[in-house]
Amino acid sequence: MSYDYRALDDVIHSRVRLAIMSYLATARDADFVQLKKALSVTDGNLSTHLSKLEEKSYISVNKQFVDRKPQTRVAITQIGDAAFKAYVGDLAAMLGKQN
Amino acid sequence: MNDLQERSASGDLALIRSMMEAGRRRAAFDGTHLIIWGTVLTLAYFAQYLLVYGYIPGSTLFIWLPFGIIGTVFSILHDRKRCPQREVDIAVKAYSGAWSAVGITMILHFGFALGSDTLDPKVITILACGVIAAAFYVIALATEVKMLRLVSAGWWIIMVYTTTLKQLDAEILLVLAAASALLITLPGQLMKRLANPREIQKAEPNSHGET
Repeated sequence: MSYDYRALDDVIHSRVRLAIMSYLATARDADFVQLKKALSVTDGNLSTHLSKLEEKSYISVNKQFVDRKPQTRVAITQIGDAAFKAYVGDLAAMLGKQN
Repeated sequence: MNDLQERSASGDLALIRSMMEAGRRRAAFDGTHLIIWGTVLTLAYFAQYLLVYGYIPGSTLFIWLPFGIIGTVFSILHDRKRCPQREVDIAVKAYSGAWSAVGITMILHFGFALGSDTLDPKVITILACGVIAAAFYVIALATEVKMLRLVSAGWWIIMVYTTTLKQLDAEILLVLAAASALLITLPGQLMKRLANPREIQKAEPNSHGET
């Protein structure tokens, strides 16, 4: 079944960003390496998508040192949570219309 | 076909579902708590076995109190590394609730039994196996990880085996040490792997040409 994506949140709609938001919707936070493993994407690709989500304040990105090693932690924000729920709701509504 | 309609909604829903499941499993437990407590219990049971045979000095309290503190401290340190603004998910609730119930039950029983000098090794072993089995069953239901049902069954079997024994000897401590390693630490390792799956094998381009 194909569908017109235009009614959906354009930022979340990218497949990788959708996967990131879906993962964080339940995990709430993850470090960069965990996300990279879960999504099987490259560092650069993941960074690009995280930046786009961060620009919209859907996620927060914190860089810190753990055991003297740099660690990047990503967490979903309240804005991001609401946007994701709205996206899923819109998608469900769209499927309802098609069916 | 409209070039804006390249993707299938069912594919997107499947992706959302699988990623949310992966996130839920990781949120519920990434296995670290199980690894910490499985290791602590294995060492504690083995230390108690050595204590019974006089290889090390001390008392039951001398063995369990430090191990309990070590396990608690490591768990707290692990939790502090994770995000504090965690929203409560059903799987997280089930996990933390189940293991809190195990901890509270065992501490209350242990404290009461020691205080009243009625510590019965058979009763506390049956109780421990029963509550651990129940905890694994609850989180198996909440996280839908079938492997945890087998782990739960393993603890039920040990519990039933213990009830059939007329008298416990020190060898049961070795059984419990092995069970802690195989039925707590090992599932923890497996959960750690499950928490980091490779869900998107190949990121498909969307209508913007992005992945």
